[in-house]
Amino acid sequence: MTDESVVDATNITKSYGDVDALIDLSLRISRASRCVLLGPNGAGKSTFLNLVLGALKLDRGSLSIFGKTPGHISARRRIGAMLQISGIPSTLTVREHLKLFQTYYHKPLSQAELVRMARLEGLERRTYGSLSGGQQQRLNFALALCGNPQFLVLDEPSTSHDVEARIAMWDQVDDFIGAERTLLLASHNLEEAERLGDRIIIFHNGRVVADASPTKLRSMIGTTEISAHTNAQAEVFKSNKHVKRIKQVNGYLRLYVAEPEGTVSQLLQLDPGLKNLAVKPATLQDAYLHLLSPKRIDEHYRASD
Amino acid sequence: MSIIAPVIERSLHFCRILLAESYTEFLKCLRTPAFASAILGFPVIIYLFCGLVIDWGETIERSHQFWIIATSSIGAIGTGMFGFGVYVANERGQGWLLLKRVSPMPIFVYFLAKALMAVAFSVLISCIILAIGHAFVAVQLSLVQSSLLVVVVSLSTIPYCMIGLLCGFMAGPNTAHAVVNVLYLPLLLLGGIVIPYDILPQFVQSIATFTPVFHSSQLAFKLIDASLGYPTISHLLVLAAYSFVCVSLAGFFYVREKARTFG
Repeated sequence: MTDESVVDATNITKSYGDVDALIDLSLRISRASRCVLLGPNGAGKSTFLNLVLGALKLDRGSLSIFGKTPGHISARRRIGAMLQISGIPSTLTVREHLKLFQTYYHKPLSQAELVRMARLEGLERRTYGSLSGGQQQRLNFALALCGNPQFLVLDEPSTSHDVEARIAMWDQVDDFIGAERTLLLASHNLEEAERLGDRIIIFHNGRVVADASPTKLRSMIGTTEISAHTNAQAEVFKSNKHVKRIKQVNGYLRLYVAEPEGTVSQLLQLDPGLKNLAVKPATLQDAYLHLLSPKRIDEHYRASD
Repeated sequence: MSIIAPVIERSLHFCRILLAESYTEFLKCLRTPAFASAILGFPVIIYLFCGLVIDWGETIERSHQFWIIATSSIGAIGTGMFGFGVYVANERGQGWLLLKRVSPMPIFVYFLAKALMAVAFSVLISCIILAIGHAFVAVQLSLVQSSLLVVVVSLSTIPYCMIGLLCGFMAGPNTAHAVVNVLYLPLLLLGGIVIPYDILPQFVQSIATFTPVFHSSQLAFKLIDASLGYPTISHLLVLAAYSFVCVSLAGFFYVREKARTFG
């Protein structure tokens, strides 16, 4: 653990009965970083968040938060958590909820600041039960910000939001984190991950299968996708050193390449009559699907063994 | 001064949280019609029927006093088991307890505030019943007796909070209400407050002495010299033992469950 570490996990393991949720996982999250946990359901993301928050106990390994045991009062004072919960009492108003959570901290943010940051203006007197799903999420977010936390832990924060509200929420998280605070976010939304994260950690069956910046993850499958409806044979491109990955479905050929120009020329030479030629940057989704493909997962586990 | 100041500051901080938690708990319950009508309404309605409407014959004055004590006790039992135990179980199942645990509030304050809320509701129920009794049948209970009754009955809520807590943590969030329901009525029937202890069959009487309801109601009956004459300390010890065993077992189930999934 160094002074710059917010989370320091070494060989942590957590099981629920016979089900292994996290297996020998080591992960360090440094201060002022923005980490996004991705992965399919049951991959271990929420278990990791709950361990970090001190809500679950480790089976093995060591885990420290700000140099303290998870759940330690001094760590809890520095963390703001937005969890996926449905049980916020529905008969209390927004103002009453905020007022209650403010008492938990020595120097809470003011109600006016919280209402502004979570865009709850005009809703202060409404009860939680009368709010829409998106508005309820905004109150959850405000509760997470009450203590002006240095470390924000968010579990799928933009679920239930419409497009506009989702983008607004991302802006708010972005503004709040700024350059000083640390973010740990679990999400299924790749756009959210790319928008808020500077480090993407992909979980699969309790293990980390990828850990890199969004740019680097994209570059793992080639930075550009070339697609066309063509008669050209995919095998020809296997000898092209710029081509990182090839897919051929229903007459469409997709090539993920580091440098597109030479490959586009090659493709046009092979099939001048090709149709629907498109050249676009590879997305995080492409990288995500590639990294979680059964073949790639097998390679990863073989390499780990 | 430098040693005392942080202690005072911590104590004030703690008191602020406890006050805010208790106040919001009380508001929350008052604004939940199911809670207010069931917990507050049930003992009051029983009192109106059994204490005021039904004529119990020669022992009319004693029966007025009996039903005031009995229905106040029913209120305390319901508030503790349903208002505390079932609500904690529900909030745990829905994740509210988890959010509290990861925030920097001392989690025992959450339980303490809920227990205070339960006691406050017991006070409210006893006061309503006493007010009705004094207003409509001029029940013979002095101000001191009435005040002591409120104190004894409301404090007897605590063991029922612990029993409810055990049901909540042992049965799980979704079945806690059913388990408490199954326990509630037999406890009332066996404890000698719905049916007076004297007219219970002998074998039921022998079972009744093991129930917490028997002991908490005996403490209250002492106020009108209608108890069976067991020493006060024996009732207190039994109630303390119930509370201790229930809270210990609840703690065991809580820790075991925490390692699995719920907050």
